Amino acid sequence: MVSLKYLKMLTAGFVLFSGMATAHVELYDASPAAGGMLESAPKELFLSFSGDVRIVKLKLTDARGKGVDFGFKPVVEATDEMRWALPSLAAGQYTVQWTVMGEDGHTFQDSYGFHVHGAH
Amino acid sequence: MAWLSLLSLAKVAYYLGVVSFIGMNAMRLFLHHGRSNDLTVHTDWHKPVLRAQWVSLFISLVGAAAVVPLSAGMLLDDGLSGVTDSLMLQISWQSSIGTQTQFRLLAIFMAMSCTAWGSQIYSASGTSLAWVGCWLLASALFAASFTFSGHTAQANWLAKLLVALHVLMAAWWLGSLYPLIRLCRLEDVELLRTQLHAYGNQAAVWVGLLLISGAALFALLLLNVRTEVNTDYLLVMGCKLVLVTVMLGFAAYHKWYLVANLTVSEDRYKVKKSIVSEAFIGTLVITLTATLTSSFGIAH
Repeated sequence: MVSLKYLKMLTAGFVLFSGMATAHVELYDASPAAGGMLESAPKELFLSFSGDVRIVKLKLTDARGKGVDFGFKPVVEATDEMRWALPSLAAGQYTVQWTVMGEDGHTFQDSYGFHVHGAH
Repeated sequence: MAWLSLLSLAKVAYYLGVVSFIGMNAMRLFLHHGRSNDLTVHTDWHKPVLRAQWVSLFISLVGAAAVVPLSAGMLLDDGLSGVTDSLMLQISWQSSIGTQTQFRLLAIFMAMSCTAWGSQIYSASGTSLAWVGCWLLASALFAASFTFSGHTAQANWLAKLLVALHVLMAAWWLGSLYPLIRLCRLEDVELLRTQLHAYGNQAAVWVGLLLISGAALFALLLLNVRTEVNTDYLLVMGCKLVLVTVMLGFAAYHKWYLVANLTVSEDRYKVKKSIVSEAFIGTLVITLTATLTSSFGIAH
């Protein structure tokens, strides 16, 4: 009987504690995808995060580190999906670097690359 | 890195006000309901403690107000221009950081009002129920302000409650140390020993709650975070726990040795010196806490 009482307390504890669910923001989906090998240049850049974020920095650079201007401006409203039209991209390796602020006030940044085999 | 250091500094500044308001007023209530009728205590104790409280609250106000522009500067990360960049300021203000700042500014203004009111009524009656209510409300606002950002921002009510309790108990402990240092000037050694002994008995309860809430929070974070635990975070948390253990050691030393052997006037200086050491370590603890919440994340 004593062990059953402790088991009930333990279960109640786990149920209470399980609501914490502290998930930091991650890049959930992207197009072009990370590591993507594209036959033709992409027409848009799409990012989807695991939670609502405010995107404060987004850079697209070529293999030489030169920035591609696609009219990015930081977004004040929090959202989990965002997309931008891209100009014609020449064949080559590209890197997407992003910085976002999550709903918890923490800032996250990461980057990924994709390769374009042929232009528009 | 510089932005994170500045943000940590701003947070430490804010914490000073929280600690002083909650802890110093708790000591005021403790002494008011204590047996001490020695006016020298109140004369020598009240004014410097009140002065320390006001200084801490003003420093706290600067710290709280600085977080939004510093966050904006960190977001843009382009020298000082981000601090005045309207878009970055807007993003920071509309995020949970802005909400937290509003709460903190409200808490500080309420604390300042409470402090001003308290200094008026102190000489007449010491305290009043209405003032105690004001103190409790401002303290609750301070504690609640810690639940708006960071790991508990999107957590359940239990985690938020634990954070609030942890903050209240930590503030009580750290904030009571300066008044205790001033209390060591009491020339009546017998009265001083009685007061310190009573304080130690109370402290056992509050510090116990602090440790339980802290342990529960740490367990919650480790059990529920979905990504790998960051080694740097654990290292800094480990340092914090070591320092808290040292503080506990000082507290035990005070209670079971120094206070118990407080018999002659010269013993007061030993007690005072030990409390000063404890307060110094307490300052390191809140500095590490500010660093933990600014520079490191469990999954950063």
